[in-house]
Amino acid sequence: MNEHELRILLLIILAAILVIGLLAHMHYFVRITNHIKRTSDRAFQKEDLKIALRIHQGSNFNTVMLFSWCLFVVAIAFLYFLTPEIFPNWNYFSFPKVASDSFGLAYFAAALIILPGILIGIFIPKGYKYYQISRPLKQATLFVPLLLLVSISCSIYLGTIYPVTDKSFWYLGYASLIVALIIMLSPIGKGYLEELRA
Amino acid sequence: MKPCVVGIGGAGGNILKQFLQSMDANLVVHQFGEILSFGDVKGIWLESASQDALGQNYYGNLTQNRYPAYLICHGGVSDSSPTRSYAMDTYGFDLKAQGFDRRAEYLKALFEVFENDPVLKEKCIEEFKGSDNPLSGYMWKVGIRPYTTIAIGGKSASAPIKNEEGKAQEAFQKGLSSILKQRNKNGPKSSPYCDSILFLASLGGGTGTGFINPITSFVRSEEVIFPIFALGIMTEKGTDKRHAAEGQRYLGAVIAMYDLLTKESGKGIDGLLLIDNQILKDKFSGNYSAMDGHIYQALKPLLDLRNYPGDQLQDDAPAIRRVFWEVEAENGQDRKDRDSEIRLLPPMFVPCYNIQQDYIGDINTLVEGALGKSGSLFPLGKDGRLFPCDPVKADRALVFTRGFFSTAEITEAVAKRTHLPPSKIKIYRKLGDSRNEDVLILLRNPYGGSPDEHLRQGTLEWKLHEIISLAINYVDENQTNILGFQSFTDLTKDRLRKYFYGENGLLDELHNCLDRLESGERPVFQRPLSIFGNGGIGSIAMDEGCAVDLELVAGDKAKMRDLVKAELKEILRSEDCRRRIREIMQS
Repeated sequence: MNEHELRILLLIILAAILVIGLLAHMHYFVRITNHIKRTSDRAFQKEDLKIALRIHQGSNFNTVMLFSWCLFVVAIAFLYFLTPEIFPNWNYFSFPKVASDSFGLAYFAAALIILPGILIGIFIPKGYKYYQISRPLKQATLFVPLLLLVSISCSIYLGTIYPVTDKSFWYLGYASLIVALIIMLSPIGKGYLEELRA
Repeated sequence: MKPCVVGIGGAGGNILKQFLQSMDANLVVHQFGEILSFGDVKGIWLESASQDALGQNYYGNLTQNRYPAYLICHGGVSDSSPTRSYAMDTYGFDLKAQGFDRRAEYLKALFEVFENDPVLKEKCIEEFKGSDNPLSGYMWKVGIRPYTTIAIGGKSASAPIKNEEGKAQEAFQKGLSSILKQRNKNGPKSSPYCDSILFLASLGGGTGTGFINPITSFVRSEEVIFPIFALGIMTEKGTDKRHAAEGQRYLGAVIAMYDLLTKESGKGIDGLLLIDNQILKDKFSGNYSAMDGHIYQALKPLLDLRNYPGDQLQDDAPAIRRVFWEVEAENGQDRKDRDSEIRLLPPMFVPCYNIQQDYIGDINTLVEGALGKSGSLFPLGKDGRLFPCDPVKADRALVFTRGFFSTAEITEAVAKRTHLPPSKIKIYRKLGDSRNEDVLILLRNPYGGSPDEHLRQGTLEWKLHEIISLAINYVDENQTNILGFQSFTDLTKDRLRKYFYGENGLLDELHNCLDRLESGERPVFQRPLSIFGNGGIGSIAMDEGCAVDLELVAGDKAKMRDLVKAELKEILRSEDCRRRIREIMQS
């Protein structure tokens, strides 16, 4: 497996983690619904269940998760689409006007946040409100923006020195990205695993 | 149910900390955002000892717009207050006393003089802008009321009070959360206000013991049906760190319980939850933080807002209040018939709690862990009963579960252990957290019905008998300590002597209580006792030369009614009266 294939594989792993998180979230609902159907005295709508499960996670946690998911979009795009190394036809340098601007990276990041980032930021953090998240886990999520900033910084460095490359920085950026993703999905994963045990 | 948790006194403040710990993420060095407590509860710590409040850094001063906050009970009274001077000169009571070290009668008497002395009342109303009590009025209006739904639409509806930084943060967070918040018109919205009050206090005779009753009385003068619950923690045996003997502390507990449990519906609390610290001390080897944590953990099923789908309103405070009071028609328990009048007295509740991992057992093991195995009442601490009692004696059970259980299986499991019919088992199911399942069972009045139960270890009768006996011993052996206290005037000493040692005084009444416990009669506490109220109001007013309408407490009214009845019967029976009636009939 060459370097290029490895990086594509790593991207697939990231996507797989996201898909697993989504499936776990959906299956969590199915299992909870079955538990409640088995024990409830009355019929209920899915919306009723969602209302019943809802729990306030706190303004700080919500803010951190919203910010983190927006940063995650930026971090993944910077890591894979900043230089032509992995996707020669789809990258930041394909737009020379933006790439040569002093605020080019900022424009790129802003575009990512405004277009997919807001959509993801609005819908994904909402999923957390159905889980009982322990305070230590919430505290751990405070590190996510830092990890994502590390990843973004690595990508910016690689974009700045391009065409020179530095593998270690790329892998450091990837490692911090995947750790951040795991922490972000851990409330869902933990809730699902506990539910599986029930 | 979303109560405003009011911790009173040292122990109340410590337990309240557990309830107010934030569930939100935050930095270690600086706390941002609003405090997100479990069940969205709000809370305040009321303390009379300024030095204790200043010697900690968890609570901030409410008067400086901090949250979580403490409020000094006498903060509204100035050093040169005329009301304070009058109370001091006439009765020897200091309104600004720094703590009420194990003297429940001090606070009881202090509040009674405000109810019964018209001169003091007048002075107080003049000085404190219409409020006839400078302590309970201040605590209620400044400390508690702003957090409750009563404040909605009122002037003080801005609770919780925030400083400028807090307001800016709130605005920013509201902006962000409005993006995240699901606009669900059918769903319940989170309200910043509380629908009830839950007092937390130790029944050791200090500030906590003494303040619940007067604050409740004051609240009731404004709000007759607002749900008010109290959780009283019975102190452990032996001499405490401050060298207060168990008898002295149990006397405080008995005085407090007497006052709390003899006030009719609409005049006092709606229920007293009892916890025995001795059980917790044995269980947690004297680790007080762990004991406080366990009390909080035990109440979680009651506070959890995640009800089963469609059951959102099952545990709102007014509904819980109604179920607390409701009397079964067939047995008339908790009811005292006085001729045609029915008096409902507040019930006692014994909380029983158990938690287990959801894959370990079923609802039967969970309930058995909470109530104990059948026939096993002693030693205590082996099961989830937080106060000694025999579960089969309860006249009703309120069962709060977290986990996935059907109503039928919960009812069956509880009925098996308590022998209660399903109609007397009220189930409140919550969704829980998928990892653990727990149950809180509130047993209502689990005592009485058969004689000599006080001899059986582990029953409520046994515990109450022990407490009351020790209190009687203390009163018997400590007349000088009780009456010779510091600054009391002769008037106060005289009233206290009558209250403790006089005919039909506390001592006599406590002996009656022991008789009731021994014979299995309920309720144990029946006749309200007053230091300055029973027969004493007139003389206080006379001393001051005032002619005013006197407000009678419940006990006086009952006494007077009996007197009038007896007098009327006597008149109607007399020959002279019969002759006159005959004459009227003939004419």
